[in-house]
Amino acid sequence: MQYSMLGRTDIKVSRICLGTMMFGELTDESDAHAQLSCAVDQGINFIDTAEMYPVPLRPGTMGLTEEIVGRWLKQSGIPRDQLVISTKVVGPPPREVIGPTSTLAYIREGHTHLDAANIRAGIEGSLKRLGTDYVDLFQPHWPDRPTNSLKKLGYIHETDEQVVQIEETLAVLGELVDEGKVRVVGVSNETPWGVAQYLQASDEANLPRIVSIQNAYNLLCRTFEIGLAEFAHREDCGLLAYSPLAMGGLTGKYLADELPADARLTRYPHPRYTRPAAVRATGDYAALARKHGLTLTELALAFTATRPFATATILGASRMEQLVEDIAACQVDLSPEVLSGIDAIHHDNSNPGP
Amino acid sequence: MDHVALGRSDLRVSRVGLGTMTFGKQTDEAVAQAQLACAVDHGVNLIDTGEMYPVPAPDPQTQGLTETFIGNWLRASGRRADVVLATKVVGDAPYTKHIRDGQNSLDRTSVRAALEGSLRRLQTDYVDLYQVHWPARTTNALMQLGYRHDPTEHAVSIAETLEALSELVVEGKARAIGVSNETAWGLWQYLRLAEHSDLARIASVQNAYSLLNRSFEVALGEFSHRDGVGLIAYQLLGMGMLTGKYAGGLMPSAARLTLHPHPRYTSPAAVRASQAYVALAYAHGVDPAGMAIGFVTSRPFVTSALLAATTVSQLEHNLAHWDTQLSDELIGGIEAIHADISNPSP
Repeated sequence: MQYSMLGRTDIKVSRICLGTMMFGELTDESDAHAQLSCAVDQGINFIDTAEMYPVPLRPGTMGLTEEIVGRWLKQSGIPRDQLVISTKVVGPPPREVIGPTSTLAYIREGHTHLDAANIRAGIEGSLKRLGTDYVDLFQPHWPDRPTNSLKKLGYIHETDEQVVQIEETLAVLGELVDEGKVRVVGVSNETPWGVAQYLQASDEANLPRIVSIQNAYNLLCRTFEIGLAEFAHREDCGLLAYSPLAMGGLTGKYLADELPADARLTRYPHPRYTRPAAVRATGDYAALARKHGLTLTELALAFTATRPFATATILGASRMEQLVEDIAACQVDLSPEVLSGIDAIHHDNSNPGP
Repeated sequence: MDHVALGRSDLRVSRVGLGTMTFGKQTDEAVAQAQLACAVDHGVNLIDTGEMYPVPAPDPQTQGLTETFIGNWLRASGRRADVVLATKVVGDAPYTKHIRDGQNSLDRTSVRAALEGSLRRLQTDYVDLYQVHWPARTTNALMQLGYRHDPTEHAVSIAETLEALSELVVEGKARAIGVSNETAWGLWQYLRLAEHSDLARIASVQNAYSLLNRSFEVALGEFSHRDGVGLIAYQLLGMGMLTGKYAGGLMPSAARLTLHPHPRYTSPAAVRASQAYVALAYAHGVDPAGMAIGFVTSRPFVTSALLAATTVSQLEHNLAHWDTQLSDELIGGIEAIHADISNPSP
């Protein structure tokens, strides 16, 4: 296992982070605990969760993922300081997050702007469910303002009077750091403008500096490279890449005429990775992988895991054997020929799943 | 022709501007003068040039000729006060070694020397908008969708370039400043530095933007709105690909991409997308160039769109279509093509 530092801190994280958002839905508690133990056995020390999980979102299950992680923390007996636990506080839900199953209005009666009340309630709930005194990394799950970080290539300006300023959000996060409830802060589903505001607020108001940007990134969704990779390098706030397999789309299992019965996109269809251009690109990447004796999963995960602007790749699997396969796939070497083949497909069909 | 404020500056510019980079190569001086007169007669006041022009560069024999043509016209027509004159300082590149013996690091000396050369050729004592043609550092603003970091590079800092530009503003040699071919990180540096000191604030960002290249929307559209930095869009016709003249693989003999093929717009994906957009325009009974121009000028983050043409009749055609109205149905068709083939020409 390889490790890197979070931002400009000395917090060492494994380059593979365990994603947990299916714990409590597709993955039951005993399988979840087995995954957590397996991950740690392989050198993973970085576990990412969120108050909102599991997905798909439902009023009755919210928080279950953190509870499952919390019970494992207690039962495993692993010293707390051996692990880097990250979680997230919800913001006002954008249309792209409100799915067919939920509006998220059940969280704090819908009062979820990124202000002091919401953030404090968020961290207190997470600490309680996780059964710990602190989280290592705390992240607003998505921006307070309307923007284009979720499933939208283009930016359409909307004015919103209710928006909480980033400086206010960061000041609250800074208080949590001072109180020892949070070690460092990061952002998620952010844009270059938002990242710039966080960095500037930390410079100007002597507030904590963000250490990471947790955004979707995979062969079908490389928009991070357009505007954020330069920030990652020049400002040392690296990518925590979520959805490296595009919700399983980049395993190739949805290329068959008949969709696999138990799989996630069969049970919960999602337009991000199933539109024609995404399917075309997936087919092209699958052919490239075959030509070089790789599985599509290996091609996809090794590509994301070796991006120089990425601090870690978040792996979420519904079943244990997938997790084991995915951890191994992240560590496959890609030859220059494979990388140039990837570039050619990207050049021809860039970002079909933004 | 409508006019709007350029960013938060005092300048008011026409919603379309005149691009001049072919003046002195494909466009001779008589045609250049006729284009300038035609544009101004149509209410265009933004005239954009660069010390490097005409293109294709490098050509030590012709470098600066575009500015000289404009300077000659300004003097002959007496229209200096009626135009917003914009030009650019080059950065270091393999194709700028013939300019100032390759001393183009965007430090204080090169920025100042560049503007003095431009003022001489333009025969004026100030430019309205002075722009950095591309960043000093290696980044992904030109023909590269993704950013690749080079930790060994030591480029002149944006702070030094901005200090040099600000001095020129204080001296009255430039009324406002802008950037070109910039990324989100670079734009933020300019804005942040201006907020923290008495340095000049950039008014605009001049980047390529068209139906074939909408990456501005991914990372810069939000800056444009929230920080009041207007986009001056260039290459809105994808070097002619979106006019339909190259449709079906036909390469007209005098056309630019026939004379000077450019990988930005001749990749298979760019050709496929261009054909789809041209077909969509015809299906809606709209002129393809008009659709391409109208799409750009109707984007809310676009302050002005540069029209460049080889001939006066092309320019007149494009000026007549500057505010082509696009129906919701047509916009829907455009978005469907964009979703299927996004940004084939970064």
